[in-house]
Amino acid sequence: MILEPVLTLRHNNAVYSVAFSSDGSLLASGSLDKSIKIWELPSGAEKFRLQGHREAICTVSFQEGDATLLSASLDKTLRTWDLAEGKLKSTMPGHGTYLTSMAPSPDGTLAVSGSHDKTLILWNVTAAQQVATLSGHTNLVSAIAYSPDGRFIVSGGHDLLIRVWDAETKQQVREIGPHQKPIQGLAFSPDGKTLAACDTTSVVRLWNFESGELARTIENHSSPVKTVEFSPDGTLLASGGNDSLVLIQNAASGEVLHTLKGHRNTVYDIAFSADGRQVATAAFDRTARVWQL
Amino acid sequence: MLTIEGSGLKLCDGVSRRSFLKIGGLAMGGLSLPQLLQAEANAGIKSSHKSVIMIFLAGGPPHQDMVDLKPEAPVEYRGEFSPIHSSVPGIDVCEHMPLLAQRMDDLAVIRTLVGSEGRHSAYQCLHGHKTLPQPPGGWPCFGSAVSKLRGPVNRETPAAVALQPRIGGQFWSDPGQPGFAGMRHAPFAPNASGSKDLVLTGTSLQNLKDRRTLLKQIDYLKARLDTTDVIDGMDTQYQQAFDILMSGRLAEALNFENEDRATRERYGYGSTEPAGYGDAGWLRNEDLLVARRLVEAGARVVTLSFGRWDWHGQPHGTNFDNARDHIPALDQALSALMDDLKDRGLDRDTSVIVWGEFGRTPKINPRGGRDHWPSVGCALMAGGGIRTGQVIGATNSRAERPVDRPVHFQEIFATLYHNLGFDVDHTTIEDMTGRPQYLVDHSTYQPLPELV
Repeated sequence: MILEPVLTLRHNNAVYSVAFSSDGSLLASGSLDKSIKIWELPSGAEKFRLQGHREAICTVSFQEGDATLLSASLDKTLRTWDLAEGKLKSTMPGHGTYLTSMAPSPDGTLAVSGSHDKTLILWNVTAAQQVATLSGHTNLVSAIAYSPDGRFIVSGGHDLLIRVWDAETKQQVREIGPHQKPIQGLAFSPDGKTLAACDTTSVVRLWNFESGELARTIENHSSPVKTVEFSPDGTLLASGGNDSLVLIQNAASGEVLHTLKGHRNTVYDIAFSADGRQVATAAFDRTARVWQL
Repeated sequence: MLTIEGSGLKLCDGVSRRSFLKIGGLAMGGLSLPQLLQAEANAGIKSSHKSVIMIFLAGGPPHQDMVDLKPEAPVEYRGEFSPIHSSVPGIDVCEHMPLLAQRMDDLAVIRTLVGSEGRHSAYQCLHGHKTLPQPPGGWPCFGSAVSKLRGPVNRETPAAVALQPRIGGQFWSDPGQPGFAGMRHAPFAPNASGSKDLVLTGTSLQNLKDRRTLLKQIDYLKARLDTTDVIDGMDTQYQQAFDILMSGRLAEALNFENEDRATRERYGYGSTEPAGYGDAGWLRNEDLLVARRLVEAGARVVTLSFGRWDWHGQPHGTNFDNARDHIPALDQALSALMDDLKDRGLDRDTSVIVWGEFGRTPKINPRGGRDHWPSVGCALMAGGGIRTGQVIGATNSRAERPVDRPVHFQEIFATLYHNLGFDVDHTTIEDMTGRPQYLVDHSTYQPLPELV
């Protein structure tokens, strides 16, 4: 079934990231225009425009019961924002060059970022401090994810390998892959058993996280896939990329259930609302869009 | 910025007197009243209002993703886009240029632009020469040279207008230098840094109508600043600036808000926000509409910078992400301009050139980008009475280099000068030492015989 967006929210440049608040009343979007916008749902009214990053915002995430927004930017910093006032709370500088991906830990106390400097940095968000630098990648890091139990971090990029890190020891414990092209997106299923990964091909790979074996591939897109995301109940897998489409698929069978059509350029990020009934997407066409499943 | 207030003229915070004087030259074009009058006296030879609109694609557009697609090339070369047929059999262009494809009968496609000096700069596209070497006084930009040779069409509209944005890298927002043509022929640059208030606020045209008040304001300003011979010269600068503004013709031309809705829809809507990261200028479809309005008002040369085409890849979007953003905007705005000029009977007198400083690497880099490629680039030309509906030049199978009919930047300039009625074999401007300088290296480069 083809679905059209219920909301189209605009930035002055490409939108790289979206996130729902836990109660679904707010949407955050981060853009190449260096701004973060906080939108009220379902109206789509702009509540705050958070400005301070000096480069594109690659990831946004609500934290602390939606009282705080955590953002990561190509400007090599993580920042936290007070959502009661719409004000900057803290800035965490790090990395030698572009910070391109970030994932918070499940409890929100930590976050991990990946960079074109080939490293990962683990952060204590509460204290606004670096905890450790994780080295091992031999090329740009472009995708990162935290396991749902908080025990593992996975990262991928231009060296084609998914590296698995023990979040406690900060050591690489194994590798998954290789992929054939640079890895663009990573997402755990809610039970932590499956890791979805996309690269600059049209194929989505589902890896058995425990064994590291390739469980299956999904080939529903016609061009490179940029981002993947599981629904909160794990039954759906959403993917988006260069064909400007977002496909909502049965995570078990790969069957396409919904095609979200409306973006006019590459889809960079996908988020499900906590109840799984809404999807938000970010794209290079300067819009974030909200869809009702 | 220069602000005109009810009680007089004042310099805003942080603007030095030196900067202030610069504004007078940069933004006003330095057209003196005597010059205007002389131009009017010579109106007999200037009645033919030929003009050029130059659209600069800052950063270097990807020739192989626009007008020279290579669908048979290996995947790491050919890119993501498919070619589509145009209205001229045998000329295929990018799938994101459907409107221009329909108008190919009115376009000339140059697939083999060579001679780029390979630096990020508007200089070569605006001046027709490489940055170095420079003759005494420096090369004048195209608009300044035409202004020097022809003067203005009327006293209210400068001969050369540069719409380059006030934002972005200076090497791309450069309105063009007057060089040895002299400061009075510097392009009028309403969007340049330092002139925002002067033009965009309208500077209260109502106030400007009281000339006596203005003259008092100038006197007041002079009293506040040191009096030097340069300051004395400001009278003339501001006199002509106020003449221009008071007439309302230029202000009217710049105010695209007055255009009817259907026309605005045709051109599409852009933004004055950066059209990319870092040093990006803006991508404003309306600038093409303003260019047409300026030509109608009497401008001889209008230049503008459209977007940021320097697409090296992630993390700032791949070459193709950015192309899907910019190319449709160019497709719409340029198509609208071509139609508009034709509808108004201006197409044969108005030459349009679209180009950037170089092409982009045939092989896609690991970040999905294409890098700088001075070996070959592309250009689109329309109007001015040239022979259209044709492609000039051919590149090899990967669009790496010309294999047939390389076209030099100076051949394009020779063609544009020709379209304006200049004989490049005989027209010269004296440089600062009094030595006559030809407009192009005419012993090597002539107007393109395929076009004229």
